[in-house]
Amino acid sequence: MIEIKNVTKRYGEKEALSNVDFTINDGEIFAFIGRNGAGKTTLIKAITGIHEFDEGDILINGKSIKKEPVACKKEMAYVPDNPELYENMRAIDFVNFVCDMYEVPQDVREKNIKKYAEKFDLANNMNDTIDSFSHGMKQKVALIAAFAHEPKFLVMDEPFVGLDPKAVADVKEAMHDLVKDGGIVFFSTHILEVAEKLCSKVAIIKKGKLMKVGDMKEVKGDKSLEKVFLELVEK
Amino acid sequence: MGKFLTLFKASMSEGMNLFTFRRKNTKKAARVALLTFLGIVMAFYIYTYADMMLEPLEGTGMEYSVLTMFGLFSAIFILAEGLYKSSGLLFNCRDDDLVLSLPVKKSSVFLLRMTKFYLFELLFSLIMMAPTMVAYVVRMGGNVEPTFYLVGAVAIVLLPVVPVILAVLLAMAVSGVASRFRFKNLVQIVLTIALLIGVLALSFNLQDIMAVIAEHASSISEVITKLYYPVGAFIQMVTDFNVVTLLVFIAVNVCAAVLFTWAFSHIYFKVNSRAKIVKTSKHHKEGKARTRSVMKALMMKEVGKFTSSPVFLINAGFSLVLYVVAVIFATVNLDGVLGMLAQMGMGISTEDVLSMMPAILAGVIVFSAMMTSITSSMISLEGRSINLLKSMPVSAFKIVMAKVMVAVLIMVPVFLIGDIVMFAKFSFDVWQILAILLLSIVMPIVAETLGIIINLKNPKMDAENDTEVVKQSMSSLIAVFSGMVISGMAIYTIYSCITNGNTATNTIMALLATFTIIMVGLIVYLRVRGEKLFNEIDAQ
Repeated sequence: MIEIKNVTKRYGEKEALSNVDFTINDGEIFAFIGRNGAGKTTLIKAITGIHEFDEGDILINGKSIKKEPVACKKEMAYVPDNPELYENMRAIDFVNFVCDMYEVPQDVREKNIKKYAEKFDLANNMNDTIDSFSHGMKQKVALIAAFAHEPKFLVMDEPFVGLDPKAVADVKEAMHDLVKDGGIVFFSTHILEVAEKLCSKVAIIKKGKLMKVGDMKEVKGDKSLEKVFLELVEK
Repeated sequence: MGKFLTLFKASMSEGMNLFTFRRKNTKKAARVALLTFLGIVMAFYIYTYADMMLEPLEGTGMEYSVLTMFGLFSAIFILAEGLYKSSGLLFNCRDDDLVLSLPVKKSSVFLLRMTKFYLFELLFSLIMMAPTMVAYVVRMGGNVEPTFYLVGAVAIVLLPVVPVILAVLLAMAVSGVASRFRFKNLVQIVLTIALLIGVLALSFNLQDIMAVIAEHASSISEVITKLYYPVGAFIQMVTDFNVVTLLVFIAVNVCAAVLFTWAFSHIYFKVNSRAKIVKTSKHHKEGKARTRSVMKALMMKEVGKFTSSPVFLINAGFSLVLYVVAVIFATVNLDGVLGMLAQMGMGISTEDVLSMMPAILAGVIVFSAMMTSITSSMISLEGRSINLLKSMPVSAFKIVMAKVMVAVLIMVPVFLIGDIVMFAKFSFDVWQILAILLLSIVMPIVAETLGIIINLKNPKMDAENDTEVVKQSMSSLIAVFSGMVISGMAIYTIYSCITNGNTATNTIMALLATFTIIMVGLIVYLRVRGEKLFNEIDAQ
C-alpha cells in the first residue's frame, strides 16, 4: 500500500503540490492525470524519493520515504518519462547495474532479464550501447531494468511515450501480471483512453491540487474519462 | 543578423548562466562574488609572477620580452586546452537537433559555436594578459606610450583568435578520424593526447627553435614574428607603434576568423553528423547477467563514464601524466632542472636541492593532487540521469563515496609510482618514505572529497555537453582555484619551514598531520551533510 498523506511541495513561492492526500491499495493499477505542469511528475518524484517535499509524508507499506528512504525504494521501481539512462553503457550492463543496486540474486536476474528482453523485443540488442538506441528502445531498456528486480510497486511517468503499439500492449500485460500478484502500478499519462480501459483507480490533479480521486467507475460515472477530465480542468 | 543575435543571446544565456543572477538570488550572488574573488586572486598571482620576471630586466629596455613570453604562453595554453575542449564543445551538442531545425544558415550556427568557444578563451586571455600588462606599466614607471593601452586592449581581444582556429581545426581532424572507428572515444582520446604531447614538446623546445630563428633575425620582435605572427605584431606595436601594423594585425585576425568560418562550416557539419553515428555489432548477442556488489557496481559505472568521456579523462589525467613526466625528468636530468631554475633567476645548489628533496616531493604531491580534481565534475556529469540514481535503494553517502573512491584509485597508483622512482634515485630515510607514502594516499582523498563537496554544492545538471561541466562549470572553476590556493599555502609553508631551519622530515610530518586532519574533517562533513546536499540536487 502507498499512502500519500497531505503532501505539499513548494518551488520557492509556488506550490507545486498542495495537501495531496490519497491511498493506493495493493492490486491496483492507478492512473494519475492532469495537464502539463499540474504536478504529476513532482508527486511521482516525491513518491520515489527523488525529490524532498515540504509537508506531509508518503508511506510505502507503512514505512516513511522520508525516514527510511532506502527500505522504501527497495520495493519500488521507477520508469522516468524521458529515459535519461547511462548512454555509454551497453543495455545489458545498465540492466545489470540496476539489478546490482537492488541486490537481485544471479538466478533471478538471469531469468527476468531473458524474460523481459524477449517480451520487449530487445534480446538482440542487449549487447549494444544505449547511445545507439532510439527513444522507444531506451524506454524499453528502462522497463526491462524496472521489471527485472521484481518490484512490488511500479511507478511510471508517461510510460507509453515513444513505444510502438506492440510494446504498449506488452507493457500493459506486464502491468496486469504485476498487480495479479498483489503489486501496485501507479503511472501518469495523457492518453486518457488507455487510463480508462487499463486502470481501476484514477486521480486528477490541477495546479497541484487533487480534484478527484477514486474508482474509475465512480469518477467518470456515465461519461467518458476525457469529458470528466476536461470539465474538471476547465472549471 | 537579427536571427543570429537572438540565437547567440539564447546560447550565451545557457552557457554563461553562472555569471547572471537576479537581485534577490543571494546564493547566486555569493557564487559570483566568490568567482570574482578567485579571479582577482588568480590575476594577483599572475601579476606577482610577471613582476618577478620583470625585476631583473628593469632599465634594460628588454622589459617587453615578458609580454612576449606571456603572450606565447597564453597562445600555447589556449591551443592545448582548446584542442580537447573544442571537441566536446563543438561536437555532439545536445541542442544540435533544435538549432539545426531552425531556419538559420549552417555557417551562422558554426559561427555561433565558434564565438561561444572564443569568448571563454577570451576570459583566459584577459586573466593572463591584463595583469602582465599592468605589471609592465608599473615596472616602466608609467612611462609607456598612450598607444600601449590601445594595443594592449586589442591584443587581449585578438590574441586568442588564431589558437582557437588552430584548436578547432585539429579537433575537427581528430573527430573526423575517430568517427571512422567503432571505438571512436578511445581513438579520440589517443589522438588528442598525442597532439597535446606534441604541442607541449614543441613549447618545451621553443628555446631551441628561437635560437635557430634568431640567427637569421635582427631583433627579438622579428624572431617572434617569424615564430608566431600575432605575438610578434603585438610586440612590434608595443616597442614601435605604427597604425599600419595595428590595422594589419586587426585585419589578419578578423579575416582569419571570417574565412575559417566560411570555409569550414560545411566540413564541420559533415564531421559533426558522422561523429554522432554509433557503430553497433552486426552479430547480435543477448548479453549475460552478472552480479556485482552495490559498491563495485557503482564504481564500475564511474569507471565507464570516466573512460567514455574524452574531455573528462584528458582533463583529469593530464596533470597526472605531467606529474609522472616531471618525476622522471627530475630523476633523469636533475642538472637540467637546476639549470632551468638558475635561468629563471632561482639558482639553487645541487646540495640544497638534494637535502630538500623529500620536502620538495611532498610539495609536488600536494600540488598535483589538488590540481587533479576529478570528482568536482562527477555529480554534474550525471545530468538528468541522477533522478534514476536517486530512485534506487542506495544511500547517497555510498553513491558519492563510490565516486571519490574511483578518483582516488586512479590517482594513488600514479603517485606511488612517482614515489618509488624518487626513492630509488634520491636518498630518503625510513620516516620520510613512510610519510611520503601516506601523503600520497591522504592527498588524493583530500582533493577528491573536497571536489565532491564542491560539486554537491554547485551542481550543473543541465549541461549541453561534458566540456561545459568539466571546463566551464562553477564547480570545476572553484575546485581549480581552491586547489591553487591550498597548494600555494602548503608550498609556502614548506618554504617557510625549510628557511627557518626545520628538517625535511619535520616539514613533511607537519604537512601530513595537517592534511590528515583536513581529510577527516572533510569525510565527516560529507557523512553529515552529503545526504542532504545530494537529495537537494534538482535535475528537472
